[in-house]
Amino acid sequence: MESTLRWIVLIPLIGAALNGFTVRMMPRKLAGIIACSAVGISFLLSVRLFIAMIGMDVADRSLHDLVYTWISFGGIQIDVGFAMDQLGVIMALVVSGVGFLIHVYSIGYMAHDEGSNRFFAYLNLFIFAMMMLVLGENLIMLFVGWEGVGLCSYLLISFWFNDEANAAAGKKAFIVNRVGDFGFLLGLFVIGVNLLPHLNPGEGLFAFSVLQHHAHILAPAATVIGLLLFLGATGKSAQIPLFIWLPDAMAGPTPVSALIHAATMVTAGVYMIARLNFLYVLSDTAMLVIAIVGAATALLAATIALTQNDIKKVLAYSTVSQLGYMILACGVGAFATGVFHLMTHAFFKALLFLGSGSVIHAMSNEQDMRLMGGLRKKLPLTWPTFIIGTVALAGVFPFAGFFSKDEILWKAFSDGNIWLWITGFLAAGLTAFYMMRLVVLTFFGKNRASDEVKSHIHESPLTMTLPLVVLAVLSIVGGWIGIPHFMGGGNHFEMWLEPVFNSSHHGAAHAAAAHADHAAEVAMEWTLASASLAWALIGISLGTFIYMKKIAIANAAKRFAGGSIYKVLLNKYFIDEAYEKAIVNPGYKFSNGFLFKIFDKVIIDGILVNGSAFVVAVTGSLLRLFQNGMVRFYAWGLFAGVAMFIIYLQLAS
Amino acid sequence: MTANLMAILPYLVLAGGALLVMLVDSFVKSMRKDHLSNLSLLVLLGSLVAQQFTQQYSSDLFAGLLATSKFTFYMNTLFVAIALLTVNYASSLYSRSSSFSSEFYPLILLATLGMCLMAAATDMLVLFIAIEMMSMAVYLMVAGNRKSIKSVEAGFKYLILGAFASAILLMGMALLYGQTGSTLYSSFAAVSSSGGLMTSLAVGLLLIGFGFKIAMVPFHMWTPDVYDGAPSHITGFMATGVKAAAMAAMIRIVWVLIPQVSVVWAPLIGVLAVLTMTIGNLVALAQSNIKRMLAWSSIAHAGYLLLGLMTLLKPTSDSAVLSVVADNAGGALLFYLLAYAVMNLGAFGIISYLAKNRGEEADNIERYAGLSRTRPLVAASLAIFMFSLAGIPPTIGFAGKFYIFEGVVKAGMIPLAIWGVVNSLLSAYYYLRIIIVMYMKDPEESSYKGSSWETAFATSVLAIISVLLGVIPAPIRDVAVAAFKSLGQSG
Amino acid sequence: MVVDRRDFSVNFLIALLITNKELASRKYARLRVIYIWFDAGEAAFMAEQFVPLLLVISLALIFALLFLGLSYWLGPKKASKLKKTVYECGIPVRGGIEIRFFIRFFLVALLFLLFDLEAVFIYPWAVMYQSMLDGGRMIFALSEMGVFVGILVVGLVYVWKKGALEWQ
Repeated sequence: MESTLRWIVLIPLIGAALNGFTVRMMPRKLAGIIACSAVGISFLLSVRLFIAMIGMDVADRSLHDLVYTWISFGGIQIDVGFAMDQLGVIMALVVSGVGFLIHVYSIGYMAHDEGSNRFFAYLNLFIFAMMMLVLGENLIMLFVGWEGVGLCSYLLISFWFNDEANAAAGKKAFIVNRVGDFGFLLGLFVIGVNLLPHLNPGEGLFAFSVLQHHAHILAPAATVIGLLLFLGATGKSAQIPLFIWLPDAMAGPTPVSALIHAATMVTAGVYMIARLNFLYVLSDTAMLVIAIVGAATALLAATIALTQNDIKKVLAYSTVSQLGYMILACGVGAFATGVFHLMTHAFFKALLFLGSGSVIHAMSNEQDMRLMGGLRKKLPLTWPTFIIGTVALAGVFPFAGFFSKDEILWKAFSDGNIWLWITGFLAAGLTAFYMMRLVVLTFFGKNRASDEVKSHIHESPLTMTLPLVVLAVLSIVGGWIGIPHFMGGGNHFEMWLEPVFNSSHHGAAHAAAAHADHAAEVAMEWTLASASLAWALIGISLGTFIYMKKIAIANAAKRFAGGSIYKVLLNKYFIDEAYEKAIVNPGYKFSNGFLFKIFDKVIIDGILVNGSAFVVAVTGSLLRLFQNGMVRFYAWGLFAGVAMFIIYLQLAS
Repeated sequence: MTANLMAILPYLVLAGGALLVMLVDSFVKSMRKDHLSNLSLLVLLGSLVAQQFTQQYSSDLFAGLLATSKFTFYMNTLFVAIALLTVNYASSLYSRSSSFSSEFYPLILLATLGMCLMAAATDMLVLFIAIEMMSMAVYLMVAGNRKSIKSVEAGFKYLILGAFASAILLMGMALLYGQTGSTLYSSFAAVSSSGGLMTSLAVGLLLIGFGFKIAMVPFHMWTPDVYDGAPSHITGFMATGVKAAAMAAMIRIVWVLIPQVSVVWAPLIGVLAVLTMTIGNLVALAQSNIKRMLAWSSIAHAGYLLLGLMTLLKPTSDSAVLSVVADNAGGALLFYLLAYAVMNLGAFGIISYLAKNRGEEADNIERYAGLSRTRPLVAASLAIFMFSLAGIPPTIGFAGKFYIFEGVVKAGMIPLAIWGVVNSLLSAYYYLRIIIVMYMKDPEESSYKGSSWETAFATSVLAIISVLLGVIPAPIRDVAVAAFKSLGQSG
Repeated sequence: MVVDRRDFSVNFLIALLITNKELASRKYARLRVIYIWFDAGEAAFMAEQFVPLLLVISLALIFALLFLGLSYWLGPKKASKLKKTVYECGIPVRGGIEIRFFIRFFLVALLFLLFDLEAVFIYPWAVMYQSMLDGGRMIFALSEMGVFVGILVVGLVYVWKKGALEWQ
């Protein structure tokens, strides 16, 4: 029992309540300080538990905090409680740590915004929901957190709701996620139905420990459960086919993009798969589907990112692509590696988003890269940190991204499916390329903005640049805790997480162990690592070369094959349009034509609602006639009742 | 003797307090009645404290006339809490208006004493005296607004019909006495095993007598007129306290007489439960006066209570199953009494809060328009109470209904449970209408505006309790089940 | 059903519940005619000793009605104004019969009734008093009555201070 856990979750909620209920009265600075300290305290408590956990035996590294039993009837018991193990503590540290930095950044970024108090309330609420998601001790708590972050995401995407487009983006994110959540819920039902008859008294249905203990019972349904839950993950973690909401979600303020749509919320799907690893390893089919979806998403999103002009859109597609890597890692059974990439990605992608926020801030809210350029000198702190983030994302040794991404590719390779590796490898090169395109267009060359904007360009305040520096440092050193064995590192990260995933002797780990020739394997690892480093460097230099020196090549490429390829990429493979045609329009027609006009208007409103209301009203008015206010009549009624009792007694006996 | 007196110390405090308040009222001449309300609050708190400190449980006080147990502890706490809130609501009203006479204060203390004794009585004579003590006080309190014809008329109606009900109740008691030659509950157990038409008739008449108090169809007809006419805070007191007291006495008697009662009356109670909730809800739909609406809704809630009672009566061959089902059903009933008290007192508190000077009543639903704008806290509280009354989670009303229906299902009477749920749905319509008026309509010139902060504070606390116990009902429910079980032990 | 004939009140109630079937039994055969005439099979509770009483009452009623009817039928009827006046004493009635009393009368009557009735409760105590003294419980007996009278006194004081005893 460790009651600190509940406070880690609840303190951000208290912060949200403080700011939320006094939204008009609270001085702005105080609101920022409250929000930051709430998350800060949460972070410090997480660190405390982390340190305590390091001091424990491996077997004891699992903290529980049962708050109370929420539901208990008919054999179903669901507790409200929190649990923290090796995986949970990593997630808690990432969420509260990165979250804290982004909160600090937001003080500067939102300083001139009218609704900054509301903003901080939402942000804290988000941290609360996210903490509930990663520290909940059962799937229901996870689901509550899951929906909670979805809600906050919606609120924050359409934070500037006066603009129609923002509101639409928020709705899109919400509705697309509903599709995924539907799958998730179905998955929960399947688990419940299968597990319920086998539970012992006192065991919470859906509790992770119970699920793990009874995993063998779920084995026959593992594929169905796995795929249904994964549908939820494709929604939240923006995978094919539900990734379309994430780029639009960039309509929200940039700190939101960094926190929710890059570092934390979108990794919820990865966390969920990693958390339920014991279920997923039971189904090879589900794992294969996950791996394929992950790899395909990584490549698809990377190609789209090549052509986008909005700085945040490029980063958004990059996020989708990187999430694809994490999912791929989970799909090949390398859950620890997936979580590793999740963490490093949180560092450098938050850094990149915050950096882009700093750029946008400097450019008076301009987001189109074609109107930027030459910001290198104007933004002396933003630009080097941005470069660090870029090389970390591109996967250059020894930055954080290298270790985690390389590990994923190696695990995919050693899993035996060469196509997964090739897809991932291709995407890695593209990543380096499009990131250099972004950097060059933004920071190098001449400034293409209007004179008016130019005159306003300035470096951001300290509250904004300080988080950049911290994240830059983390982007450099963050990967070092997971240096693989063949490079002489200890791979501490994977060892730390091993007890959580020890049931999953599957995929990569298994295949790697099966390799008879250890030396040959190490050689292979070296080869692949060098290849991906070289590939990243090629991508970087090509990107630099083309966009700095020979822009003609890029233009020629645009015209290649009659410009059709460029057009397809620029329009994101027309996926939005396809969904519109195939799903949204027919759905709308069906809803409007049948559900609304016939089912709703005629059957529900006409017959069920008004019809029953009519019957009820008539009966009610009839009964009112008895209520005539005459005492004599009432007394008569009373004795009629007595007579009724006596007659009943005569009949009954 | 001393032990006996110690055990009934909470009752003695109430009785002595009532006399004291009477004396103070007659000697201290003052326009404002704050001293009386404060004194009454002190007396009630004193009774609560005495209750806490003299938790002496004995089934054989004064040669078996009274029995104290966890059951009486639970019920008495409820009654005194209800009285506390009622006095709280009343105090601001009585200090402002001359239409209310100060007799209210001793009367409510005596009524509370009567209710406590009803729960504790294990002898029919004590029970009858307790019922009359409560009823007489309530008749007067109903007619408490002496400048309102409606109020006086309501008091008169209630007095006349209540006298009839008392007569019927007394008839039942006489028959039981005829059978057993004793008025002690403990002597009923012997006769109940042999059964007989006369015993059944006697119990039936008792059920009618109590059914009148809890507004069971067809003995409900007085309810809308009286609830409407009485001052709001008194209505709240009646709807929660009187009902709970009658229910407590009924549970005690039914539980003692269960073997032959269950056989004969259970089906009729089931039918009446269904009728009560259905008629209550149907007529409530057509009301435009919030007090009348709540009166009908309280009839509907009596139906849910009867459903719980029905579960208690349900004969089951397997005695082990019976006792478990009965424990849960009894616990559910007691929990429901508490839940209903919290939400209904809250609602009536707000109605009495919104009433202006001179004893006017805030009963027109249309004039609640825009309350969310002018009094956001009060509107939110009232919304919570309405949600709770409609049984929408996560409120205490939901938890209460859930436990009742759970018991009904466990006793194997699924159609009844379904009908109960359908009724809940039906009731949502008229409860939510209030919320719509408060939140969706703009405030108008004629909209009500309250001003008493004590009442607003008390109702907000009740609203918080409604939600809190809706989220975490289990601990209180455990207490309720334990209270009910203690009844079985002490007879 | 076992009918206990010793207790009339119980018999009466059972009578409400008894069925015709019982009436048809041989035990009551002799009385059947009378009961059917009463159109209340439920009257079967009556034991034979009540029959003479019933006959006496019936005869009395019949004779009384008979002679009253005869005198009404045979007597001459010549009404005049003088005949309709009040005979010899009394004064002619004026106005309605709903005479208003001063409300104070009611109040005093109520208070009298109240305290008068309370005094009735002292009797049982007085009956038990000697035995309580014999049992050595004098203190208890006295304090019991003390409490009772005390409550009455509080009531009296209340009534007094509230002005219910003042005529104006």
